[in-house]
Amino acid sequence: MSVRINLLPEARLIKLRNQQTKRVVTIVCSVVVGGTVAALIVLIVLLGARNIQKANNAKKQQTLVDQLDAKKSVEESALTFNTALSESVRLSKSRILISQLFDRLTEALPKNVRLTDITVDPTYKIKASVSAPDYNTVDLFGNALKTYNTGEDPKRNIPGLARKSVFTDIRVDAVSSNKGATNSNGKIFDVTFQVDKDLVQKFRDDNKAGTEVKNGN
Amino acid sequence: MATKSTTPKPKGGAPAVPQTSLSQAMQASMRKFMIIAISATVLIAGVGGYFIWVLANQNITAANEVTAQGYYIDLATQKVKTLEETEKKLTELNDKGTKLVSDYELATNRALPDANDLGGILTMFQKLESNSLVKIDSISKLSSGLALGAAPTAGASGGKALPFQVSFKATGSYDQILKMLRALETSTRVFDFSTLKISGTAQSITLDMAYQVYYLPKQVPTDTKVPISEYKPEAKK
Repeated sequence: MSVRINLLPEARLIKLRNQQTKRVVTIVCSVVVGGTVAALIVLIVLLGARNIQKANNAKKQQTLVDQLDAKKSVEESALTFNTALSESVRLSKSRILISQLFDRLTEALPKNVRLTDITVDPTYKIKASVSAPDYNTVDLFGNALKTYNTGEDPKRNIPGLARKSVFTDIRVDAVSSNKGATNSNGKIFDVTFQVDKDLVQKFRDDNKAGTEVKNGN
Repeated sequence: MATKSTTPKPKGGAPAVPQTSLSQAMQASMRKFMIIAISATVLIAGVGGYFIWVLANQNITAANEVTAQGYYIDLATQKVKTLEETEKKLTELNDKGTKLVSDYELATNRALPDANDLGGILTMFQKLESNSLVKIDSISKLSSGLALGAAPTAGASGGKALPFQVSFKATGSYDQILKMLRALETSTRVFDFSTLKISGTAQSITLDMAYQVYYLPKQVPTDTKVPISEYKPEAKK
């Protein structure tokens, strides 16, 4: 059994305890408040620095914007030139070439058959109106186109192209009497057919070679 | 010193100390201090916290803006440099030298002019007429989206050449007609054949033709805006 003897007066004890608590509370509060204030100061300084940096950058930016504005015409000219070049190349590659087709059709068609109307779409599908003296020639027309360049008649071959039918999917859609013709039996018929892609490529190659020769390349 | 006969409960076996009015006043003062100190701290921390949050957001925004400005300055400096080089190249392209037309003129005004009118085409047909000896009876522009000669909106084509239809009537022999067709097919300006009507005799063929011709409205560069979070400077390089 122990006996505790309080040598300090009770008020003194409480005062000491309170002082200690106050110290702890003051320290904790100071740390919290100090931390908050420090964070605020850091953030304000940082924001100030950033704003100065932003203002400097804005000045540089304005100088560059002025320089770029002064060169706007150069930019537009360069863009127009580049676009024109690329578009010219694109359009030239898909250009529909009719002159060689004209030559080939003149060779392929029977003598007394004449083209009067022709439409070519970008896939080289041809829609044509053809005048012929009679129905028999209408029949001959399809066969003449089919056998062109197949090797059946050496005179009706395209030099430099493999022997195969170059006019395909030949379809006669309508036949009517040609009222304007001197021959009263004259017929006009509407026909559609497809030009073989190898022949189209040959047109393009020949045209390119012709252009290069013309340009002296 | 007056004593109050309050008997606090004993704690952990220790004998309770009777509280005097002085010690009670001291404890009350301590409580007040604690309440004030904690309240003030909470208030300062709360208000400070709010301002910290606001300032932090402002800092983030400012930092992003500064970063974006940095990217802009880099890209713009690079662009100014490129445009200076481009200007030199354009001067070279615009130089005719011994040629009749400069390369720039050839690619733009000759191959793809910026207007959908017949101006340049008429000059071309005049040459065609004199070179192939074909007689060109009429030339007309068929309807397109824009009225004849109307200035197309700059940059409206989106980097694509726009078509318009031109029809013309020509008369000549078979050879002359073929010569004209070949000249059209090898011309700098692209003529895309559309339709053809043939009439007349072998000695004098009349062609009624329609061609698709192209023009390129003046190109205007457009700015692209990229959110800072999506911009990858490495990829751009």
